[in-house]
Amino acid sequence: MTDTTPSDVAIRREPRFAWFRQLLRDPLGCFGLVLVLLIIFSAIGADLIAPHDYKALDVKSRLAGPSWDHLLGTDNLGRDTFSRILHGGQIALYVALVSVGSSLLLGLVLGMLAGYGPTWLDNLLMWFFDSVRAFPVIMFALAVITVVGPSLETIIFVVIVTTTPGYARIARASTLATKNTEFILAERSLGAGVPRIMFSHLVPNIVQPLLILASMDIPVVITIEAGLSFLGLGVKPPTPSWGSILNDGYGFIRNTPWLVIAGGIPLIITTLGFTFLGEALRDVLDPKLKKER
Amino acid sequence: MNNRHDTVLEVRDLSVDFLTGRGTVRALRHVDLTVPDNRIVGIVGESGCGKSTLINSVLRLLADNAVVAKSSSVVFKGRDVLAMSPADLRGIRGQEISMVFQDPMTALNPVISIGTQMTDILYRLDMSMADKRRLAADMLGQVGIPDPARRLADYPHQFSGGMRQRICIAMALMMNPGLLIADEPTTALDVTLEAQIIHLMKDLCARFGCSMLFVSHNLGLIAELCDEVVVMYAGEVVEQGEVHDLFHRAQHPYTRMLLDCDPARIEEKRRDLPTISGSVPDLIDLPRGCIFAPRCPERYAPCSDSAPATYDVNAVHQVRCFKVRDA
Repeated sequence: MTDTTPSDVAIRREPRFAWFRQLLRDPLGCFGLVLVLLIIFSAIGADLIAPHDYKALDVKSRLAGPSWDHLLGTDNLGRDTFSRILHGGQIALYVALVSVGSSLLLGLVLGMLAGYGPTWLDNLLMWFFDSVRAFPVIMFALAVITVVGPSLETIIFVVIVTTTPGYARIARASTLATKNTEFILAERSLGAGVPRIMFSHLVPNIVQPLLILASMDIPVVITIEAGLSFLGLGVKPPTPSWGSILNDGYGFIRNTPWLVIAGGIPLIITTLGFTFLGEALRDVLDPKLKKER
Repeated sequence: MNNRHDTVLEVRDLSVDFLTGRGTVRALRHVDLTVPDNRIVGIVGESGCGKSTLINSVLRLLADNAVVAKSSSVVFKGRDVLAMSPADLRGIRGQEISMVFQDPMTALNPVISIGTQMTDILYRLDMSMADKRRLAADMLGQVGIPDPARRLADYPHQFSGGMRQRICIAMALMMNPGLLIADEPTTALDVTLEAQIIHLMKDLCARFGCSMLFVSHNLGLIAELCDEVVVMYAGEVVEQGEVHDLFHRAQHPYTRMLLDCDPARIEEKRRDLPTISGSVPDLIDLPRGCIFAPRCPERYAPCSDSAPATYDVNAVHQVRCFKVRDA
């Protein structure tokens, strides 16, 4: 049909943000979105919002309760807890987004290669993933941290290594289920090459469960970061982390409850926010579940 | 058939084996087939007789465990498809030969809009996205989808079965191929739609100057649509010829029995529908003589000794049966 002159028909674009409007109509999704946006904006704008320098010591008013000057009180060194929470959010989100994003991409590509590629590659990759998954996460993290030393990059590395196999397994299973369907055969019969089949046709079919898993994994990763920091194996002081704030609060719980509350609430908000958003996105993004207009 | 046609597709001595855990399944044996320019060739036969294997080998879409015999050749417009590099093969698929599948419900990607799917396969054309969408809309219009420009944004599940098959046909014909292969395109549709789709395909093929290889087990459809017919049984071509000649003077016992089984041709009222007794032979362990001999009511001495060659009934009609040789 290369020689036909295309008739002058009005071309309607696909509505780009229809799914977003649908998301807003779902109360839980809306709630999740608000929480997630709250966390994201407070982290991005931490430098602007924070009333104090998170490193500034004010020993005279240490372990103070909430006041207009210190909205969530101060810690054992007299540092403003609210400012430290905001900056801790930056660290948490940075770790979560970088590591979940990387393991999502890595897992997607490796899983598709395993599912679509030859059997030997499938076996090799699966053998590798299963060996990695056999390690207990905390033991693996402790071992790596002992060797390399605690740092943000170490946490990110540990999370990528331990979560990639999960994404890869899901990607592989969906690829196997999809690759023998008739529309893949039809695409091949129409001359689509392997990269085109993988990235234009398989990815949209298999990426959706991965995205939901990813949005649910973000709070998990944030708690891993907080947990390691709680144990003193995460970010180094004076960089604030929700985990180290919790640890400080744990040490001084007889003096003030405010540090534990301040360290715990953002973790709860993040977990709820990303979980609700993940659930709602699943309902909205799947065209098979889409209601007729 | 007095005017000579140039051939578009010439299949010679095509044999395909499948290696399975149970043994080697000899799915196709020495199949010859010719599709002349601007003609519609029908392939008919019961389930499992190798129809799908035959058309999948033309585009080399066979499963990984398939082995195509060295002596086979599938020549499309002078080029041997079986000897092509993967890149050349991709050039043929969709542009020179395209295919319409049996079940329109599963032949379209469910999570991508029709417009995106249609423009995606135009990746070889050097034109803007807006032009590609216009071309896709134009093609949808030609297969009778109302309001095509608006519907490009819709997903497959928003179309009915008949419309999806029209979309598949539109996608197959979009690059103006020389040969359209249709694998039972109407089996999944109801009877009224069947007639519409068949007429649509016939019209479009005539308009685009495209030959067609049409697979069906519906004899009435084949008679209505095709110029030439190939009758297959258990991986062999048992009879082929010009449609009128073949249906009116069927020579092979299998073809005659197949015709007798067609409910549309039964004239008197009866309790049971006629069937061909027995079942298709095991393709792993083939009988020594004629492949149809175990089920054939007219078999005689030579049938169980050796396999018959192909004998001419006349210039446009060949049969693989000893009775024709001995007649």
